[in-house]
Amino acid sequence: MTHLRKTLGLAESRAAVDAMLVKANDMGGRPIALVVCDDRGDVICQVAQAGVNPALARQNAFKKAYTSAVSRTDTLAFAERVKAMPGGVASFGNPNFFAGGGGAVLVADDGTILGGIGVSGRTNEEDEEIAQTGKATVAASISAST
Amino acid sequence: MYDRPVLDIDDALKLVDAALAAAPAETKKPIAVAVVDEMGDWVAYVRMDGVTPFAREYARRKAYSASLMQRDVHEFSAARAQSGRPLADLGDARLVGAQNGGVVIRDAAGNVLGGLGVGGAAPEEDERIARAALSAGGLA
Repeated sequence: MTHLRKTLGLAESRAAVDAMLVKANDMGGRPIALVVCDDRGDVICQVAQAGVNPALARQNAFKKAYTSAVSRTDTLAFAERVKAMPGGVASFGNPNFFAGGGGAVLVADDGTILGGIGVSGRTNEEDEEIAQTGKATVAASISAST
Repeated sequence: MYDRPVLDIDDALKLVDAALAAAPAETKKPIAVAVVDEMGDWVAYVRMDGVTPFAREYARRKAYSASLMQRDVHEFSAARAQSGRPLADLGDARLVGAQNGGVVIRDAAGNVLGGLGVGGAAPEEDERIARAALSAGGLA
């Protein structure tokens, strides 16, 4: 039987990316990579600024978005949760899990998990601030369209 | 030491937006668009709502192939067809044998900045959209 699921679209995802780029520019700092993915971790929109850390930023931005979406929590809260677990984040055996700042879960008004945002390239605190800007933009964009 | 030209995010987003604007609304076929740098690392990617699952990764791989081979994928494929050598000989599993929709991005001096890939529309449409994006971005 068919079931209709609320799903994150390109419009909200792109609005978040644009807002995060403005925020990052206002803050000033190192180049960043940004990822917005859907509820299962499939990327909807992603960008990387020239000169972004080639070793880590692209991968970590993806991991943060993915982790937020599938763990259904911001990555800071996820990090707190796994701290109490024996073996920590490694115990999941999932190399795409990231425990730290810079990932934000996207949730619809009715609680449906829509996806995640991941930011990487600066300090965890700066990445987190930018990710929360994106999360707020998606929330506002969804409210405006319903 | 030397200066290396690098694709920046403003240009990459301009290319992506131009590709989305060129997507055929009448056929209702959503597309995915990928822009990678000269080493094949992603710079920008977007996918429209409801794009087929296959087109997502395919767009990325077309962009990757155009960038690494430093030519449009149709030229790359034609050259391989002529030589008769299989794609696997190159030893890079990310390369695709697509005939359409992957174009190399060069600056005015001819330096390779990266590649752009489009997937999801009909093959000839993917190619048209990719070229339209390059023209609109001033990088044709």
